[in-house]
Amino acid sequence: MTTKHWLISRRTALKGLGVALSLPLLETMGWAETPKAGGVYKPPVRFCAIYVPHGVHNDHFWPEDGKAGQNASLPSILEPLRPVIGDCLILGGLHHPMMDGDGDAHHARETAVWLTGFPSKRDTIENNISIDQVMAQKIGAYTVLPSLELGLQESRTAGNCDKGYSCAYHGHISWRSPTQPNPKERAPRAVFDRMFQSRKGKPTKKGTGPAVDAAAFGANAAQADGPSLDQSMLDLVLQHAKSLRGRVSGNDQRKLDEYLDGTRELEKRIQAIERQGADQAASKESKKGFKQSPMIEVNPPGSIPEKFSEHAKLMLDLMTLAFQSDTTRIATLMFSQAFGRSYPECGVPENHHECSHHGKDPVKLERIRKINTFHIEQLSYFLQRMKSLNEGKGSLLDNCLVLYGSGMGDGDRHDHRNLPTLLCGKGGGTVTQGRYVKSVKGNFSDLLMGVSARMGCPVEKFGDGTKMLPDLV
Amino acid sequence: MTATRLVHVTQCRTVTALRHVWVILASAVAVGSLAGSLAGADPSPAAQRETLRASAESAYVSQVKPVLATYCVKCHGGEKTKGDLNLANYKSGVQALNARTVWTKVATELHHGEMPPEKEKQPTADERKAITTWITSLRRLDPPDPGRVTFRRLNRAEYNNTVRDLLGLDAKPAADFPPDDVGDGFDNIADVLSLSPLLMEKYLLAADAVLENIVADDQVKFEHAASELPAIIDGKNDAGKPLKADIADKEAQREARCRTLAVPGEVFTQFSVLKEGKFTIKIRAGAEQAGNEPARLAVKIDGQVVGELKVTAKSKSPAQLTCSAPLSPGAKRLSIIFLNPFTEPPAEAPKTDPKAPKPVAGKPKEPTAPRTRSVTIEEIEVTGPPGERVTDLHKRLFVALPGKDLSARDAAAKIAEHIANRAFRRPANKEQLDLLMKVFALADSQGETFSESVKLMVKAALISPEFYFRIEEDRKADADGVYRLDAWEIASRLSYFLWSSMPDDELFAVAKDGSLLDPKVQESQVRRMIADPKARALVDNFGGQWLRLRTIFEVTPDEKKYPEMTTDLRQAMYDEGALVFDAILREGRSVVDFIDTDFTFLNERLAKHYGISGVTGPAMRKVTLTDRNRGGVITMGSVLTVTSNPTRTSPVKRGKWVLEEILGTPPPPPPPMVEALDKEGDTSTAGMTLRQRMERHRQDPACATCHVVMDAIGFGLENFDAIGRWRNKDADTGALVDTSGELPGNQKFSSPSQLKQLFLTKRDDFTRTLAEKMLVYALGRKTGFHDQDAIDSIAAATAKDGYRLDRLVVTIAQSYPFQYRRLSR
Repeated sequence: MTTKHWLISRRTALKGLGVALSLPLLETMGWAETPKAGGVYKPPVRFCAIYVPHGVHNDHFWPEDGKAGQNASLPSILEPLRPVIGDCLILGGLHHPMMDGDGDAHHARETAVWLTGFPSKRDTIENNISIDQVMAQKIGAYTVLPSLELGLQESRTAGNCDKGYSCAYHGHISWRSPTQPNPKERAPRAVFDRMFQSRKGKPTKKGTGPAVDAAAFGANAAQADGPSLDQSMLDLVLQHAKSLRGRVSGNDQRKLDEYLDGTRELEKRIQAIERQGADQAASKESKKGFKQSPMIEVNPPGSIPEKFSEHAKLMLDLMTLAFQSDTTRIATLMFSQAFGRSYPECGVPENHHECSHHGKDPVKLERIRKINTFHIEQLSYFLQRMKSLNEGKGSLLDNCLVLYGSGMGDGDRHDHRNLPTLLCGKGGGTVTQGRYVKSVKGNFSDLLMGVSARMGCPVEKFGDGTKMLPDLV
Repeated sequence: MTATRLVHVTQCRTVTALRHVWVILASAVAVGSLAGSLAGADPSPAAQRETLRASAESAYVSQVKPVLATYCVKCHGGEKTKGDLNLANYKSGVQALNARTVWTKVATELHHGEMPPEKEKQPTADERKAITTWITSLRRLDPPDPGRVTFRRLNRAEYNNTVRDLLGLDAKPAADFPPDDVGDGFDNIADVLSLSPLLMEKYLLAADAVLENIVADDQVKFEHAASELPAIIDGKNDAGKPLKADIADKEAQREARCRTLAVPGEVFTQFSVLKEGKFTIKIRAGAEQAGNEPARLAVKIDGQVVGELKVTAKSKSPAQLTCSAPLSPGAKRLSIIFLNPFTEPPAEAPKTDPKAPKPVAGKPKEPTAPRTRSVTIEEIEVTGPPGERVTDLHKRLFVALPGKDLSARDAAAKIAEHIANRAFRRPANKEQLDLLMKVFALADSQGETFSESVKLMVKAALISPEFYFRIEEDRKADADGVYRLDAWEIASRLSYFLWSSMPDDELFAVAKDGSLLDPKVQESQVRRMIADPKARALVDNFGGQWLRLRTIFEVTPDEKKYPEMTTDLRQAMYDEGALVFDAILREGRSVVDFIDTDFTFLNERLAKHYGISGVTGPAMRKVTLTDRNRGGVITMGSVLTVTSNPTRTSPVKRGKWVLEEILGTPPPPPPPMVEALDKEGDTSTAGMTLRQRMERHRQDPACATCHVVMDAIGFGLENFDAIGRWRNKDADTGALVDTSGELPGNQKFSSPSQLKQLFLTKRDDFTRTLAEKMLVYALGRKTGFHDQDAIDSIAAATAKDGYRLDRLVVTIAQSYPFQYRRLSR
């Protein structure tokens, strides 16, 4: 049983982060997964991105210049964040330069560009790999789930989305490849099962039962003696599919590539689960003396709650649990998606999109403010929950980076500038929190590059970004 | 080239330049103009196209460009480029010919009389015709192109149905798959249906779950380590002990599972038999030998000996021994008894008894410690009965069972072929069968039962690319890179179009004998399939998306304002749309019924909602309508609701829906930075009705062009509230609803029923719109310029047969893009 060590070389780190930042960062980052003898366990940094469509009511979102501390007066939309405002960084002036200029399908593109920094193409599916997937490629292998994609709203099941732009664009912020959006899970129960129940399944000796159920966890350490039947079967199918791929061309090849990629991921996933027992033992060993709150309890019901806040709370709890248990370190969650939904729960039975084209109508603006505030309340719940959980010397939140925002600044005018953006959590001590930076020195992709580096995944260039946003410390 | 030749060509399947009109042959629409243009000498198709291209280039400069300059360039060229159309870009014939899709849009606008706007100078009929003829002529300039549908992944509905028809179990395993993305209005578009690792995971779990339900779940199967089981050793009871999980050393772990008997004794257990049948008992055991016979075990069930086994393997490397017994239902006691314990007498070398047999070899026996015969049992496994007393589903899958004349491998090979031919929807090739047999062997070699090994094999089939991609492999094509699909591929295209599922036995049969390539057989098959209950898939998956019926479950009318919008009502609205579609399809009705007709389907709940009396109970039934403000899809509760906002109607959305789905003239998206209905600080709108405010908005010329038609239609439907109820007054303002209006061409109306009458005059436009939508659905790809001929032909053939929807379906199935595919270009 080999447990791979996730150690990023010092040189990579220096190259990626810039020399000025490197030394203090290296001390705080938890990127040496299992420390060598004598080292002290450092929890990894986790990343989560939460998306809301249609921008915000700008008059009530941005604080007074330079004021974001505990005692400062907060704009009403951000007021729910007061208990955790010291863990939030409010970033003004961000935008995606590639979205400049007019074009069709603002809503498809506001979503698709957010984590990709790429303006989607019409009449086809072409985007960029999203930053969470850049991270997942690099560090996803160390957890049972490389990444987790969640959403509260069902994608459209009929009709057209934005003219000439597939609904795939406005339904997804996480893109595995330029042509492959990651589907999001909407049912909390399904998410929970995927995270945990699969390991509790009754183990069948040789694994012809459900592959994931058959995985060794606890009781049957016997799995160590070679691949399960499912794995061997997948190997054979994979070889077969490769030979098929050799005979086809064009887009057909692309489809088979998706298949091959998916099958390999599935094999990895089965291995990861089968390895888990051993990994957990190893991790227990390396975590000696490391203090952590007990795992939170989440009990998702069989059906999806109708109330937005209940649904959101479950999903946020599941993400908290996923981070706490190191089931994954990367997650994305779409609170809703473009063209929106209605929010009778906070007094807005009207459709979000309809209200976002307020034409400065005070009634509609007030509805937008209510929806925005309501969303922030959910975020605040999440942050507070993570802050309440101990992890090492600090809290779980201290080891997280939660990116919250929209791909549109002003929904009324389809304006893609000054994107409402919050970055919360200290990222293992790599982000200086409790500030409002009115106009940052860079664009949104620069922010994504800065975040990715803090996750131990520095990239030289990403989307329309060229550097790591300097304003995070 | 004559018409006779055309027919002949079709039958020979060597269609060349004229495949564009393949469909026309089937529907017997005149092909005069095209045939005429190609008559005479018989140059190569490419040369013909060159000639046409040259004449189209010169025609642009001499006939088209001057007309455009006179009527269009003012708004669409140079400084102004309204609707993103800049005709100034097309100075030469070459430039014009490179922008085919632009001209398609121009043709549409001209055809519908929308451009130039009414207040502008209008071209003469001849001038219009010159342009539309020229635009149509552009279709002949490219090599024929049936399009190239990418491998299509089965979407959720197709996966469910295919598993149902393949294995007989309607378990809907795809219910918790992530939703399929929608493109071009449908969720079966090949390029949009991507595959993700999450989906792969779900596929594997779904295959497990389905097979778990099919493969002999009444089979008893258990296995125990001998050390766990109770035993009686030398007359004393020994309860056995649970296995420890934490033994690191493998050998030690194995040893911990064993029991060694060196004295008289038995290991026993109990199990219950649910169904009568043959059971197999497998014992993994080894022995230390002594004396002149091998260790022997007796297998007893309820005291009856069912087998006696000689243990010849070493105790350190036990081997599996098998016996079997027919058992009747009930609790059973299984015991394994060590029959011949033996300890050699102490060595008394040399033996003196002369009667004793002499030592075998010349070597004298060395004195050793006395040896004891012992037996080491590691594991006991019971399985049964093997596939005899099982469900029909199990039998359906296990088309062969191992027996006296059939080895397990051969039986598996038969099952492999049976399942692969159907799962992959064409005769399986050697590579595919080899794959499945390798998987079978994999499980078989590890001692799995036949059923379990077959299960793994079928699972491999269910996650193979050939199962959930609809694969159409490239093959030899003509000079233009076009080839005709084979009968198996046509069978699948038909079955997924009409049933969202795999072909059935009959369709496979006509694919196998090749007769499916005959247009007559095709038509009769399509008609048979429409009559089959499975054709409800076309209603739900095409109809449900085209009419956006599915959305009725997702929209969120304000609960306070519209508490009537219950789940029951939503379901009734969905059913109404689906049943009307179904009736038009299966009763040989005209597509015109979609626009307006005298019947619908209602239950009590929905009838009450519509204000129609005399319908009682929850069952939907056909109702004849007397008030023709209802009837047809435009005035259905479902459509009216999904095109409304949560708190009010949206005339714009309703108008847009009609333009897109009925008239086939989707409006362009609004220009950027439009001002909304009310400006900041503007109090002049206070007290105005929605209509008055929108009329003011339309005074902006940037908005007027599109909104003039869109809003007129939407306001014509204002008699229906945001959940589709009839109203005379707007509940918010208390004002009477004004549904009067006018469509271009001075067509006035003052009620929804009159509005529908105006749409009836556009039945050809509607038929073409529907034809294009259904073609997109049938092919799973976006349509393009190269499909326009086929769409025209489909619409024409439908019109000719009384606009019947079933004719439309048949003609799509026989159309050129449906029957052909081209190589990558």
